[in-house]
Amino acid sequence: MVDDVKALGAINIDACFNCGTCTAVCPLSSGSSSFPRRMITYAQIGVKEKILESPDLWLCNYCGECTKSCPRQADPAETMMALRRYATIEYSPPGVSFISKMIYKSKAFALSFLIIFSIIPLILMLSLHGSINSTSIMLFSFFPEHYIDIIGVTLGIIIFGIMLFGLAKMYFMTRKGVTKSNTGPVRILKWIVEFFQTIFKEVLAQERLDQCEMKGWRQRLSSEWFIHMTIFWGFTGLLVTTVLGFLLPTAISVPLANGIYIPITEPIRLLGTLSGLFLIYGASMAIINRVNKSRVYSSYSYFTDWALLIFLLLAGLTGYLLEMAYYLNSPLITYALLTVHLTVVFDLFAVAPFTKFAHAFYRPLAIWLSRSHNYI
Amino acid sequence: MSNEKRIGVYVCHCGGNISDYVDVNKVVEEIKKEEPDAVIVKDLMFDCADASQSEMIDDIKKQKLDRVVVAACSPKLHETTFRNMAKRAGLNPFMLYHVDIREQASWAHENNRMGATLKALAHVRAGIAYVKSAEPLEKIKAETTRSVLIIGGGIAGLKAAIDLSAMDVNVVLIERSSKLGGHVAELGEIYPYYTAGSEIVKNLVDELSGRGNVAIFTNATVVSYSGYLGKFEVKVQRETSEITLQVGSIIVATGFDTYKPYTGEYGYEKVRGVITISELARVLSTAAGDGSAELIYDGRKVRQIAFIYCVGSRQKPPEDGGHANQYCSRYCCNAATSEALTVHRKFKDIKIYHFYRDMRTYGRNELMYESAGRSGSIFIRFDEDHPPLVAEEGNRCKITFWSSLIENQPVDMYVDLVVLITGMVPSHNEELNRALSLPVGVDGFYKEVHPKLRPVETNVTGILICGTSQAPRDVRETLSSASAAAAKAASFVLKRELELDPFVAFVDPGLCEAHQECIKECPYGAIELIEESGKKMAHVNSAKCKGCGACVAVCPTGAMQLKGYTNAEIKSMIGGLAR
Repeated sequence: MVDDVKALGAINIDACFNCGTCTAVCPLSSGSSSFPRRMITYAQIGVKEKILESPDLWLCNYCGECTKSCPRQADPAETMMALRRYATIEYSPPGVSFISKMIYKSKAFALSFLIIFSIIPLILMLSLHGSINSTSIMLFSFFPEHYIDIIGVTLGIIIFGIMLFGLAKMYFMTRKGVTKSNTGPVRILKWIVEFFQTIFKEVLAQERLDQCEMKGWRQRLSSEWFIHMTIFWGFTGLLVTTVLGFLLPTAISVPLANGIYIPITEPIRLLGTLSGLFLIYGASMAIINRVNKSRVYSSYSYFTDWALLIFLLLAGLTGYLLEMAYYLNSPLITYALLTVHLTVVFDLFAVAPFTKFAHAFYRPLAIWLSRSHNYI
Repeated sequence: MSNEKRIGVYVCHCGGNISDYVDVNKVVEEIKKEEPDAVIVKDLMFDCADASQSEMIDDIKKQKLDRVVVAACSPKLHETTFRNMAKRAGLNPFMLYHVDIREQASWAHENNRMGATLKALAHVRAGIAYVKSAEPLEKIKAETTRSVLIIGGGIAGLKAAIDLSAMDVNVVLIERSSKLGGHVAELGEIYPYYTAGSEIVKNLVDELSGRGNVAIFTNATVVSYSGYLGKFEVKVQRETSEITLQVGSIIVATGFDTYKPYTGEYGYEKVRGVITISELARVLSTAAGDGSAELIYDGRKVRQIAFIYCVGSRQKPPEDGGHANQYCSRYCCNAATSEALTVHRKFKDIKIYHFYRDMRTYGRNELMYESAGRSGSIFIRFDEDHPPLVAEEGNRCKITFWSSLIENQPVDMYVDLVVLITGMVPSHNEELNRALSLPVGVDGFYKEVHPKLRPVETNVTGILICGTSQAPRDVRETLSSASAAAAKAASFVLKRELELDPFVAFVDPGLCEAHQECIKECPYGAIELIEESGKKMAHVNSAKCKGCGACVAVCPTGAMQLKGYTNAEIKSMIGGLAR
């Protein structure tokens, strides 16, 4: 197991001599809890169950304080991330976990995986597309809307199924872990209250990440919290836009199909436009940080880190370009951009269970379990 | 000697250490008033200062003083200083009495100045009373034999022998077993320079061989000894014969035993794959490996090893007050990290989990600890109250541990080999201890007179200790202490004559009725019965006598007395105190 984790990024884990400096400086650690030292130790000695039974990995904010103060340069923060990757693999259903492992371990495999998953939608589009009207833009004649819906819903169900499996596995394992170390009985009411607390405070407001001491608005705009917020809200907004478009065909689909102009003030379109802006800002900032390695959390980047951010950015950019081409009324470019945009979005969802994206599911669950069980 | 006595009294302020609480002027005034024999009574800021000593010497010479009382700090500190001053002034050093008015008066009674002053005054009176009845004494001179007996042929004994031989002292080295080198001869590479133990022993033996002044007897043990510093007579049993050696000093370098875990201690002798560090050292010393080899032990391929530290050391005393090795064996953390490094160097992909209580890789050994951590060793701390458990499971050893550094929940893990890092225990030397009446400390190791000031001496003057017979030590420390003992022994035997304190017992022939109580009581065998002009009486061998006074206390006729503390002197001191 140790070798597996090392292959996922915990290169220097052996250097740790358990001094506990990481625990002392960690803003999440309090009282008798030994966060994150215990995870590092378990990883060192290869106690797999203890790691998978603990929510610790997902509670970490990757602020990097531990890595900055580690006297042996054992890089505890990156080790926590490596363990997340390890846990993502372990929680996944058998076949998925194999693919996931290969993606992390082999760049060649990851690249081939991406190419295959880019070719699939391309082939689908090229083989299923309808008439190409080069004089006026007839989007849904080019590619019938119900095809998009069918492919999207199918992919969504598969992805959701995979994540549900992982969530269930994590839930049962982690509950065992937090029950062992919690201090009192868990009341059902607390269980429910904490569920909503988690959704509103942790997921929607991302309260935990907003612990930075940056004061001015300039600094706040480039803070980890703001970048993460824009990515989260941008992505969620676009997801909601898409789902609303699917559920309310009269708002977007029908006018689109008939070539009727949709004003920018139309609520669903407005939501999509703003969300796109958020997403582009967040994803670009995150990519810049990773390129510059300006912070501890951005100093190591795995293929999957890049893949997620680049797909997010591409999804946002191609969306805007698509809109621009649409209003500039150049049919062929519009069709081409639609093809690229749908391919990128397909990829984005297809790689989700294998990449960092998985934390969007696991982290809220971990937070909920730890809140409701008085853990940490 | 005329009845007129000329006494000098010097009361010290000690900068304020004394005079802040004791009214020094009052002491001086009182003595002046009541003591006509006190020709000079002075107070000085520091009696021990060079200027003050010169002043005293002047006084002794000019005023023809024949007795001096110095009232100052503890005699432990400056008695020798003032006696030497008296000697320089031409006065018999034992006509000077050093009274303690600092530790026993000013410091002891900081909150009662009047009491402190009265006590100081009483002590000075007692000192004056003492010197009034004092007699000049001479140091005892004893001839020495220029040879040393070394008991134990391990590295400590060998090193001491080399050093003494080089100082032109004859050496007799005896070893209980049939070969030299002791434990070290069996060890593989030893930190910090990875020389093999056998190599170290070979170097020492080579250095010793060919020297004309060293005799080595193996299979030899001490039967008994008699005599005293400079002139010991030791009976040694060799294979078939008993020989008698004449030596001036004795060095005991009998080494240690390794702690043997009891059956079941961390699975020892019960769980397959549980061994001690000595056994691991033996395996490693013969194993060749270039970093790609595989370690096979007992038919089992070893990939993961657990080291458990402090086995047999730092033991908690049992509730019933039974014996426990409470000491730290000091060498083990270093030896274990060193062995771990050897494992990492010789074999491929072996992980070592170090279950320690506290890592004590002191000094430069810290670097070994550092590098072990970077070579595949993982360090996990456990608490004294929660030692790891070792059990057999399948073909592996299961370790269950608790670590307060993690979360104090039991964690199970599996290894192929468990190495118990065992400490040192005192060597079994009951016969030798009886023969030499050596002092043994609470831990069972030989005890020095003073750990800092007299680190290689025992309370039997002339019998020295060194190496691991005294305390757990590593090779470096053992060799240093052996050299220290050799130097100390040389300081005794290289003088033709030794000067001993004159405070020994003597017999008043007129009073002795040969009751022989004193002979029975003397712990040093210093008294014998002699016949002089037809009368049986006790006789004290001054060189053997330590001046303990046991004979004085038991003598029914008062014939036995102690020089420097005669009955007359003690009585007059009591008189002075009670005045």
